[in-house]
Amino acid sequence: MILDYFSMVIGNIRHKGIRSWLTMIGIIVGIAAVVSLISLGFGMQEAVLSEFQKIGTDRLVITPGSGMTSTPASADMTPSKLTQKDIDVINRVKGVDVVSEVLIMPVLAEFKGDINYVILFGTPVDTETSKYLNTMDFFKIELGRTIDSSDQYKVSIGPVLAYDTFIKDVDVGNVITVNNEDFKVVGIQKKSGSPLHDKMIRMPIDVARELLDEPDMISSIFVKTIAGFDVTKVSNDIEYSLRKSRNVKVGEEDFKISTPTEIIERFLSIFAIIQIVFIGIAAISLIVGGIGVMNTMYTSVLERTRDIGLMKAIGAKNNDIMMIFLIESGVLGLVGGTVGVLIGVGISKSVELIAVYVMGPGYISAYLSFELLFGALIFSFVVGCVSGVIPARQAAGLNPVDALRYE
Amino acid sequence: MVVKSVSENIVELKKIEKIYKMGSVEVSAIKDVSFSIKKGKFIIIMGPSGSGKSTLMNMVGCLDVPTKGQIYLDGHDISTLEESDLAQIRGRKIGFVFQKANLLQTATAFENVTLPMIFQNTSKEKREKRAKELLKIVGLEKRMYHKPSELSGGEQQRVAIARALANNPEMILADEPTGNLDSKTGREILDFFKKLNKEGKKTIVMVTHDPSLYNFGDRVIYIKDGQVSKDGIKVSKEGIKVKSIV
Repeated sequence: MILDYFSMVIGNIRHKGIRSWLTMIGIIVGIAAVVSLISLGFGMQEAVLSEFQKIGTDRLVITPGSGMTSTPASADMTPSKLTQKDIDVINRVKGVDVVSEVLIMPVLAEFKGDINYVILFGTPVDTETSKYLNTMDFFKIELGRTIDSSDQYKVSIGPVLAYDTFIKDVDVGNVITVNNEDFKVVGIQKKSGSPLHDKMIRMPIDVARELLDEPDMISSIFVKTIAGFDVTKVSNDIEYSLRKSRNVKVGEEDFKISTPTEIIERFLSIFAIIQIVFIGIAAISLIVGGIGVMNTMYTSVLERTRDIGLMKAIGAKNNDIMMIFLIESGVLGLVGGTVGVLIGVGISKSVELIAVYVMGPGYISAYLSFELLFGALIFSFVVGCVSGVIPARQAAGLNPVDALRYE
Repeated sequence: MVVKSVSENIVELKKIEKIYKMGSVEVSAIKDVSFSIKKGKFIIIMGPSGSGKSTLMNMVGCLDVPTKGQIYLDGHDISTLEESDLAQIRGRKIGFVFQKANLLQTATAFENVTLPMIFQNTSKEKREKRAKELLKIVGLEKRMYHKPSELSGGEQQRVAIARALANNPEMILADEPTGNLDSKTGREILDFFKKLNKEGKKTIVMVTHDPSLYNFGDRVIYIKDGQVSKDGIKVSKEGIKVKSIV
């Protein structure tokens, strides 16, 4: 019976042609907005989360300054306030395995006459620290080798720097000039997906300090905890020790310790707010769409009053009429939702392609899950049905004699 | 008495009144009407416009309920039933043919005929078979998949008759079924009703204001000002033997 109503309803919707499509525009826009905004939002969230996962959850990053810092990967670009003394303090905290200071600075580099900005990463090259740093995703090597303690003016570079920064590709063995010093490329790193790291030029930290004429500069301190120790507790202990040695009060810290878990949580809460805003925008379009469906259904009840009277005369019960009209509004919602999902997928994929083209991979990717697409379809059907309830009740309640007489 | 009516009468009206409220004014459309219709008869309800004959037919057809009085359909009092119960009875026992064919414009002739069977939950196979049979009976087997807009007035009315017969009802109610047709087509439709009555043993109740049609019925009930003015049994071609009850 329900199937028969469906085929009856589809006949009606097709009969109305362009009017049916106009009715569905609100739903189409709403669902397209839901799908594209949520998929891109989740995509951004995934990108950020994977960024943190590359660092590892047993790691801590200490950066100068207070309050909101940028990601541990990008670190803070303000002049360093971290010192060798801080490193010594951290080294004495229980549960700390390896401590590595890192210098990060954007610099101009020249390759075969072409000049461009790159990100200088100065890292210690002693065996123990290297062993730890080299486990991080963005320091892993694809071609050639990693820099070691015997290297001076030798560097490894990120894949974006190698292939997408200068007019000509940089190969292992080529020479890049930074601040009038020549550096021989000994390795090209694996693609990490992080735009900042993929554009790095990594060299021994002593060479970097000399090059920048900043003998004490430390941008960030990477800490690896000993397996089995609670990262949060180690983080609290380091904070306590640093506060004491730097002589600052609680709440007035001039440094910031970030644990990946904490940063992830902070980002997730920001993304939750963004998602709520996105869903709010989409909800407004869907409400407008629902009102459109309701309006059309009211018109439809008026136009088909005689048909309703006739159907009642030949045996349709109130519930049958109600069902026919509810299915019709539900189908309007569902078809609108289907078109909306297709358009939404199109928009988010286009944004992803544009982002890759303009900014490179790793920034925004559309996250299109089955749950999102299926959920959007179900939701559009429900919006349609709900919008049709009042008109359908009106249709079902018509008196057959009056309805048959209606002109 | 009720037991007797079950066996002989398909419809029995007892002291029916129908009052419409128009604002604060009450208009009495039917006043104290009583009559019964025997199974298998061809009844013509005749009367001028506004006499209340359509109102009466609506009540006989379970489309409306009386303000006062009782209506028995096959011995069961239907005057106090809810709309959904009335719908069930209409669907099973009564077939309607109106002045306008009232076909669903978006559906084909075939789909229109299957419609009453959908509301009775008849299986798809059965209703398709039945619809094809009925359209063949009304001579539209070659026009089955045409939409109403592609059919002539006479053809549309034949589709409506096929639709009225879909659930094999005991009674067909026809409200001015030839009112919109030319005389030749109208005559064909009337002959078809006659055939249904004689060969199909269907009770036919036809409402008309056209006096030339009285010949088609076994009995003519005249309605005037909401009351039965004459209730006669036709006995010869020359005229009707009228039993006046007024």
